[in-house]
Amino acid sequence: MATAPARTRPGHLARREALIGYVFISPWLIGFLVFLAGPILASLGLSFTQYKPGQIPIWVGLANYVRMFGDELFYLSLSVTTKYTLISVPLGLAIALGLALLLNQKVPGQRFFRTVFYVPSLISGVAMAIVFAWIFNSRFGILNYLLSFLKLDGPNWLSDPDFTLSAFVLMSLWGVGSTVVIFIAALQGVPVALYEAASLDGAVGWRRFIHITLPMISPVVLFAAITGVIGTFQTFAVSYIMTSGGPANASLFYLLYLYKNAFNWFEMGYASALAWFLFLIILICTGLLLRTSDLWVHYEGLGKK
Amino acid sequence: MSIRTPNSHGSHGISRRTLLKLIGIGSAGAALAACGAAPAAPAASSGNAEPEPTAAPAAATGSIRVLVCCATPAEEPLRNKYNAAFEAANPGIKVIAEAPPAGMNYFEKLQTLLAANDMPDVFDMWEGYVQPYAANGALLAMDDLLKADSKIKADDILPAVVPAQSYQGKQYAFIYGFMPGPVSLFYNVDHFKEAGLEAPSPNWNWNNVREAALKLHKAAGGKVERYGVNFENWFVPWQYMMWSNGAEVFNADESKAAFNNPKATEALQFWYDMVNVDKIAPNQDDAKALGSMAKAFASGQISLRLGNYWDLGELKETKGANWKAVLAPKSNSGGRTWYMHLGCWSISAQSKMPQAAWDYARDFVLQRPIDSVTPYVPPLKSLMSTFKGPDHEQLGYTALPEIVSQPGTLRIPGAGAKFDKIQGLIQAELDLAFIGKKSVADALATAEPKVNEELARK
Repeated sequence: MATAPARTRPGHLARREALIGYVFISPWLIGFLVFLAGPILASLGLSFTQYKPGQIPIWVGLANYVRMFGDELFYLSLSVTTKYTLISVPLGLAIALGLALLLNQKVPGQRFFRTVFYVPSLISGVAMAIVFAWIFNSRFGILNYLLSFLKLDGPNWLSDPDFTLSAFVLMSLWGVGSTVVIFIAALQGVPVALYEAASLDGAVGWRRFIHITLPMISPVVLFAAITGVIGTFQTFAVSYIMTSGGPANASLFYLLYLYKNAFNWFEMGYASALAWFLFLIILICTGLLLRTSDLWVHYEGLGKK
Repeated sequence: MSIRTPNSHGSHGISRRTLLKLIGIGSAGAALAACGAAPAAPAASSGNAEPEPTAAPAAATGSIRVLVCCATPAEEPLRNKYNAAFEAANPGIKVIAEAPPAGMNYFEKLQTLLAANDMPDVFDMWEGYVQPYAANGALLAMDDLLKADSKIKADDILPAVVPAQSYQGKQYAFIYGFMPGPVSLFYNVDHFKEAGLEAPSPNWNWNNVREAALKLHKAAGGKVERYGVNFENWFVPWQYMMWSNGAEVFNADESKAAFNNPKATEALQFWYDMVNVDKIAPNQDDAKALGSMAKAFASGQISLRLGNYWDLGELKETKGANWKAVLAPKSNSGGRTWYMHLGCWSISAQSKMPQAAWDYARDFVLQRPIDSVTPYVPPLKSLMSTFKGPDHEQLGYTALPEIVSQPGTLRIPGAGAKFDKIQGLIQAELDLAFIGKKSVADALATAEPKVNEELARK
């Protein structure tokens, strides 16, 4: 009978190695504690206070959280962000998947096209926002110019509240390149044997996609959906630069509202509460996606769908 | 000192590792010390004791940090020259000036510095910001410094600027100059000649502007060749419009909104109709397409522009532009109340060099170092005669000293710290009126309860 190895205290060498390990990671560790964990905990504490920069925070308990539920702009910003998430994430995933399927075909110039589709996602949000402000210009923008060929009178994308969010959704598609790359990697991981077996059974085209490709890449789709939801709930730079939340608050994203409270209106305590509520929203959305993943994500080797 | 390698013999000598630790700790300490502030001079008394007059420059030595908002490139060498002259006149005081590019989120930066307890000693403030910063305890009350000063007297300050630099009866800012906003009606001389119109006069009212713009506007086949008039849709112009027409934004004690009334509606609707009904003024999208409105005006794409003093830089840069200006028009009921744009200094409540900071601000007021490029009206009666410039006659500015000395011609926004949020609530509704999706009456009626709710919130 095998005996369990005797538990021994780590030797001098092991302790020294551990110490050296900590020393090596200490720049990150210190940075994490000082610049991330510290502010995170501080913001949690501040969310229970009325805190104006330069003044001592005053404890108000749950007042900031209660205030949210009577705050019209809170609901408005949450509604804008939720609508944006519900439209742009599924649309972005669908388009990214479609492009990945096309770019996964063995065609001449495949690598070139993959690069071309990825390059836009390297452009900073600020630069993109400035360029898109021109693209969406109703008089001189290229988008309305192209629509004019279809005999369509393009709207005032960024001045008309009815179209502003659509403009932001369209703009979000510009950055699908990084998701496309992830999907291509996933598509290339689907065993060829499965397609061969499907062909023998007479499954081609759409049925192959629905019954083989999609289930096999579903864990990656889940990953892209979760990161997409987190990313869209954190939308800030584009609306800050392009519209500052306007017109008529049509692009007042949650994070922009939070920012205005913190930096424009001296409401650092309320802004901290908004930040923690956003964390809760993202946590719930991620939890829901993970919960429902049992229904639609296929994990090979786990004996379930 | 000998350096020994680590050993297992219980040696008490300094090991290499210990030495490295000591060096590390020492270096960190030195670095932190270097980052710290220079030895501070005793702060000026802010108590009730009668301060001694300070005829001579401050005896304290050290550095003062100066943060400037929105300095134009033309101002930069003048400000540098002033800083050098101040250092020369105040031996032992070093000026560390920082001027982030104009429009680079100045107040976000200031808020961050405030939160980090790292405020500059002297910094730019704006109208409407003095009060919230003072309420937050961020600003030093300057009353004692002013009282003790031999170069400047409180009764020399123009009554019009006192409310703008005060909070609860104390002075928290020192205005070095101000300008009405929107100060000018710029007009294209060639367009007026071509249309056979008489040039605008300082006595024009809004009807005169509209009538001229209708004649000056040129459009063919749905394409606009040039706009008759242009104005902007943000809180400075719309407050000028409301106030000039006899309306108020808030009630007397600023506890309720007062803008939902026929006078305010009439004023804004008049201007917005030029965009949506007459279609002689660019809408929001067209304005974005035109880029800088001042440049669009200077290049002949707009015939009349209700603009600000900061337009002058771009207008002067545009070669061949044949323009002139008169003071902004009066309302159709004959009133003209401007928004007061300020250039002013505040001193941090945390400043360890308050006297030097005060001296810096005071001398800036007295010497008017940027006057040649930024034509502010001076805040002191004794300086009013210095408000001169080669183009003041052409701009109609020569009438300003007398006009601004009359009570009620200049206003600052109300509601103190809440104004930024409140103007956003009003603006969100006016955006809809500006693009013709709502009437001004509906927009103001919708905004009113929101503003009241915000005013009532503690």
